[in-house]
Amino acid sequence: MTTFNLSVVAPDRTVAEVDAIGLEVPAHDGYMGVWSHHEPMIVALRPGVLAYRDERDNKHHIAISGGFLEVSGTGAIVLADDAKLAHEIDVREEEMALEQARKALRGEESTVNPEEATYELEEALVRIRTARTTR
Amino acid sequence: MATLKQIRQRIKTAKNIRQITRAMKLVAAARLKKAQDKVLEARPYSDKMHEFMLSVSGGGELPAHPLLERREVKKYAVILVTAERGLAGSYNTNLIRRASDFLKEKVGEAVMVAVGKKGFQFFNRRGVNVIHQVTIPTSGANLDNAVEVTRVATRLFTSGEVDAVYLIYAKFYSAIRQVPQVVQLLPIEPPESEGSASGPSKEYKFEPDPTELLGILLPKYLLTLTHQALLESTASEFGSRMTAMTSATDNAGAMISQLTLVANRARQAGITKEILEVVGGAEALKG
Repeated sequence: MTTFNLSVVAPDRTVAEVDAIGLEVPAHDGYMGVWSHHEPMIVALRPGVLAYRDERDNKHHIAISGGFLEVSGTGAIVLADDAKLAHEIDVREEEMALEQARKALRGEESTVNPEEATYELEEALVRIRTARTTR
Repeated sequence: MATLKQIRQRIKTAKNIRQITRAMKLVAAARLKKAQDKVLEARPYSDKMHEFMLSVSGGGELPAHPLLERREVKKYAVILVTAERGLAGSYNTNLIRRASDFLKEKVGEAVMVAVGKKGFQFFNRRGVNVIHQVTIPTSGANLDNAVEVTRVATRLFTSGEVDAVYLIYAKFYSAIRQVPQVVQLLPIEPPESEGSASGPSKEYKFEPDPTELLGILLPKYLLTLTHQALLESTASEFGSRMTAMTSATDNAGAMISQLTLVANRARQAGITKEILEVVGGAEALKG
């Protein structure tokens, strides 16, 4: 199978730099698949689970909190606002974050700022989902 | 002329100071290494972000957006990035001087956002309206600081409170060279495409359409700019501190050897004097 170069970069580090067969991203209006020789495009991404297949057809998952995808002749680049590899996620910690976000949304006292609660909630959910799909 | 005892005391003091400055130098060197790595790690993202802006603007005119709106500048904000602490050579002084010059030559009313305590202390005491202060952790600026700065800048600009936002920080070239820079943060200036690649080189499909995409892209572009500037400032600060402490340690060493020389001479003079007295006494007894 033909592969293409995929890199996933977050503001503070490069998360993945691989040859991939296929890629699935949470695009602005639903999940979208990218294979080799996809037409060049720039897409906004929502928070969600990014999945790719490496050259040996192993599936990998990364939780991203929004960002952009650029597909060009040379490959695909994902600019993620924040990215976590599935094995880096601490489910217990995320569940706690989720609980705090829910509290904030209900208007109870919480460590999370109410303005950011929706975002935090979504982020925690995505991370938990990422960790579960890999297992 | 100081007595031998006084000179010895001064040597001891100089040695103590040398120990401290040497320790500070080592700490700054270790932190500088980390800060430089961070700048390098953040580079792929900011480079890509830059390319994105180029692709979306595609040489043509950018669609209207609140963050791009150009207004006559009646009131402006200056974001000044300095260190939390002193003893960093001319680092803080240079930045503060650059900011003072900028405030002097710019017309209109100014407000300031101070990142780091040193800039705040200086300008707050001199009647500049400092409306917000951001504290940087000892280990250096991180993404959260950048988010905070960006949020304040965006709020000031979009609410119409100020008509332009400038960022003053120290660009990092090397451990011995950091240059204060003034950049316009808001309204956002679309990046200029470099010579050869004029116009949209690759035909992209956009999703959602460019206008909406730009709305999502611009705030992130702003954050990237700020983040990069903060990381560079951190590297500059530690670089400057390391250089300052290296020369302080060297100077203490030079002072110690100078004083040791004086002390030895004083000691020798004392011995000579004593011998002369003994010999003089013996001669007198003989006579």
